Amino acid sequence: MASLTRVSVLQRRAAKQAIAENAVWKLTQEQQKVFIGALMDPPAPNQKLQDACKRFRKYKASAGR
Amino acid sequence: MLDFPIEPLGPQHDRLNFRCGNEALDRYFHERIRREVEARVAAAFVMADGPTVLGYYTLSAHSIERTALPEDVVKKLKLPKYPLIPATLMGRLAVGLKYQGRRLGEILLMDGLERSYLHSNNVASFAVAVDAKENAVEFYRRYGFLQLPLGTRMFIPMETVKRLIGLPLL
Repeated sequence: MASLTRVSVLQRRAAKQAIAENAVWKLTQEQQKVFIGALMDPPAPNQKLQDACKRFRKYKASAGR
Repeated sequence: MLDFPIEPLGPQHDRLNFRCGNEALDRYFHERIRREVEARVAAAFVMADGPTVLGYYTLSAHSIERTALPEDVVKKLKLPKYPLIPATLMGRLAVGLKYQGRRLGEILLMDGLERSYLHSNNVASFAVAVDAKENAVEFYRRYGFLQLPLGTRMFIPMETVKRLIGLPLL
């Protein structure tokens, strides 16, 4: 019983901490312009990201996934 | 090439001996991550060689508040009216000191992007966001994450990830 209570207290604390950290992300007007630009016209993946994706596929094949 | 599997964090993984060189990321992994997973506020994935953790990252559902914009902007851009835009937060990503410089961060990042994209087909998410502190900014920028003019958050639109991954090789 004691350990059950303890777990729930710890869980509650973890949840509170996570909520405080991840609180809804509010944007300023300037940030919104960047964000909306990406929303309306998402950029194509750049070369580095494409190269990374190729390496990731090789990794997955060799990690047997 | 390191080819150890990436798997959900479990009790078999040795958390206490993980060191990445960033005290906050170490302490989080030692003390908080299990409780956050149990409380379902974060999902945690590790690259592991048996019990030895080489690196980890976390994912959570997230919301971005779109505060009221001028009406003409909303009209012109045909913006959705949702006050909250759904996103996926890759809250933390860390690679063990012994394994740095071997593109392991890149593998973890790609795994997280792929996982986020696959899940966004069932629960929509507009972007993957990260908290880019100090030297992490350059890491994320390289892969095309966009930096907002203020704050430490960076993001990549899910549409960009979709174009990258397309139909996943399952």
